Amino acid sequence: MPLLDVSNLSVSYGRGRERVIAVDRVSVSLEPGETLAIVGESGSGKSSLALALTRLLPTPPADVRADRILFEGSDLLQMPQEQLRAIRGGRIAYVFQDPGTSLNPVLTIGAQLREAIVQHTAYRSMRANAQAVEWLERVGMPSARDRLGAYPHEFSGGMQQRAMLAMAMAAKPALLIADEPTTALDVTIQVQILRLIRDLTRQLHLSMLLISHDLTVVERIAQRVAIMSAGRIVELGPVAEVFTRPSHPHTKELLACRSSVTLRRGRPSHG
Amino acid sequence: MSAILRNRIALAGAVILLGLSVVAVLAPWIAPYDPLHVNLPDALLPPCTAYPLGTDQLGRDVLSRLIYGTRISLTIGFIAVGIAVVVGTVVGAVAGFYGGWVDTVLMRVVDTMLAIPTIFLLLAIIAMIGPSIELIMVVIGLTGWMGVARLVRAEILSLKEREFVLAARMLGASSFRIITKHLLPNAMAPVLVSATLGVGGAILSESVLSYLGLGVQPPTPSWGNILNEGRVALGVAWWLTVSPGLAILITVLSFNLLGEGIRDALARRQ
Amino acid sequence: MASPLLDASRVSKTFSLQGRMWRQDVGSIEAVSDVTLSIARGQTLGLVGESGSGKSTLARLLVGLLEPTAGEVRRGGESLRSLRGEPLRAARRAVQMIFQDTANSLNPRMTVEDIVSEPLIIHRLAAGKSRRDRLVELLDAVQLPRELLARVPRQLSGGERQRVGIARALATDPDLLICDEPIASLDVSVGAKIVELLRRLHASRRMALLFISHDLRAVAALCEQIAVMSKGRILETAPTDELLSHPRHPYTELLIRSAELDLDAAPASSLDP
Repeated sequence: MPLLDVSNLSVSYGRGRERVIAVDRVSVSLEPGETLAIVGESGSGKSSLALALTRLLPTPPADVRADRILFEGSDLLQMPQEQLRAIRGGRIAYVFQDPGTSLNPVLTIGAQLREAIVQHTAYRSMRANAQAVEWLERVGMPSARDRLGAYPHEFSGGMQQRAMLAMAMAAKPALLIADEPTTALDVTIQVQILRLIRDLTRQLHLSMLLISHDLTVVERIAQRVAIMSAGRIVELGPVAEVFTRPSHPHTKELLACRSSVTLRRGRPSHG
Repeated sequence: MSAILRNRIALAGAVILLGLSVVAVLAPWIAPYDPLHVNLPDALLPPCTAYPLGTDQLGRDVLSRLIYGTRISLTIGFIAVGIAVVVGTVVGAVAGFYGGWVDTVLMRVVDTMLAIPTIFLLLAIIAMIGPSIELIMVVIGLTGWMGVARLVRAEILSLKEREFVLAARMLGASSFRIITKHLLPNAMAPVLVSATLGVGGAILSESVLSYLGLGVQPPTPSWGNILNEGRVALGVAWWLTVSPGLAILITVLSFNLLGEGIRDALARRQ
Repeated sequence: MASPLLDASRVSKTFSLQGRMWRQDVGSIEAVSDVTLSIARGQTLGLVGESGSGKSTLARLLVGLLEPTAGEVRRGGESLRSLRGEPLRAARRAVQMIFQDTANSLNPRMTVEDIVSEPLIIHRLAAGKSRRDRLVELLDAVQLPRELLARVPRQLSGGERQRVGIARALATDPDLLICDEPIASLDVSVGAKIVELLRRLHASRRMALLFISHDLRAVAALCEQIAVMSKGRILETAPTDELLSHPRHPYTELLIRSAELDLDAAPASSLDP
């Protein structure tokens, strides 16, 4: 049974003449342990899609409709708010592009981590603290124990993103929704965070919905890819196949824009 | 513009003000009587068909005086605020753009002037020189420019670092051009709000002055001095106080509503 | 030997941090340290660096928006500081810049026509009908339809705004165009078209380009030479082919591998502070 099964999801904003359709009858499904990438340019609807899945979009102004959004067998669309809130941040975790705005600036990293752990697992107080340290270490943060008392602004972007990942993972999710998790980071840090994400999802057998505009990132991390344009999925399939034999013109356009310069050592070829 | 139209309250304010402006312009044709015409036999008549708002102690029609008073009040309001905006903008722009000691000196001047209570300043100056409409406008304006200066300075400080200003410098634009073509047009939004609210305040100030006898001098009618003259007959002729009082209330309220509407419209555009 | 179009000689820029109350000095940041580089006529040079490397500060120093605290920036052999009057204006016209933030680099209250005309007005290059003709010519050069002349930046897409910025920069017929992260905030396909436009402009006008970016791929695609910058210093400068095949500095090596997103080559624990 697929972990996530979305059928005919539509998201629109506004009414009447000003109505904008952000997501247009999208259907996707995700198996356990699988990473599906959603690729699109700005305005393609990918972020609206990610937020709509757990009903994170304020309605109004958004209008979210779907046949069903099944997660682990239950329909998120019909679920009462309390149950949904338990799942959000718990079984379904989010990582966003800008950790600076996702982290609470007035709470220490430790406090936020412990909060996540206490809310979504059975651990309490001292055990929660130990778990927090363990997770920080696992995401590669040096001197994890000392870092618990630090505030988000004392960290660099890469470190903040590691902290966000720790918070996401500590809740033992089944699905991670990552919206451009490395776009705001320096390229040398990007590599490290991406590898961390890849390793963690493998080790914990997580499914991931990865939203990105960067095809190379998709190539490295995802098994399947959905190409979005103007709210619709125009192409969907295994990464290798879509990248080597694209059928939709938009996919071909995106692939063509990838610089043909290979950077590998040895004689680089100019395409 | 369209945002103001959408905000119904602001729209009401704008409509009322438009109406008042029309009244002011068309005063000679609208007013049923000559506001200065003394008619003692008809003194202190309550509102009736001949005199919709009654008459004052000298038999003058209150409605006509109120209509002509609109001219005075609106003129004083607009010109006083105009002076405040011009002076404040120049000071704020220079302080914000050049910074350094220029900024420090100018801002200390602003602070000093702000520390002096407006009312007393107004009273002192006018008592010394003697009241006249021109003096009143200038004085009210000169007591209000400080707020504008601070606003403009703040806007300019933040705009100065924006990339389009850097781009203009890179193109070789002169400081004058940068201030006038790039900085000020983008800085004026909060000033517009402040000015709109300020007109209401200026009209109130004039009313206060007139009430204290230092405003527009009779027989020229202004809302403030109609109020003042009505003071002595308050028990007998309520219409002499209520009419100008209402006029002032409605006008200031309309300006405030319009000002808030503009502020909301600008905020929403962000 | 002809002097280079633009060269920087041991240029440094230090910013001092000021205390808020009494404006005392509480410390300083050296954004650019001892940088030497030169750009010849018609050359394409790429400057690669991550955030905090000082590349934007260097760009502003080169275009004359900032004064160096040490060293000299020269155009055609002459220091900007020593020029006055017409030679200074001519030097200003010769080097122009386009910016990363397309929304903020255009005056939100000016129309496209005003924006692109401004350099023509400031330098008195054209007036009346000939100005109109020049405007149309510039819009054509960046492939924008003339209907856009009446629009304001808010009504344009990111790609269109960047093209307006390029048209504005081209108005003075510069010898060198400095591009400060011009495609970082644009979609991939839009950015690719802008890079293509820049390449075409370089070819047709023999205009030199200094392309500053954190994206090594884009830089390598466009430029013949690459300079690598980190923490205010230039670590190495070499022709593109050579830099990519035989990087001399370990940081360059790191940049190349990061740009390739070679995940398994990355260390498991973090390197960043």
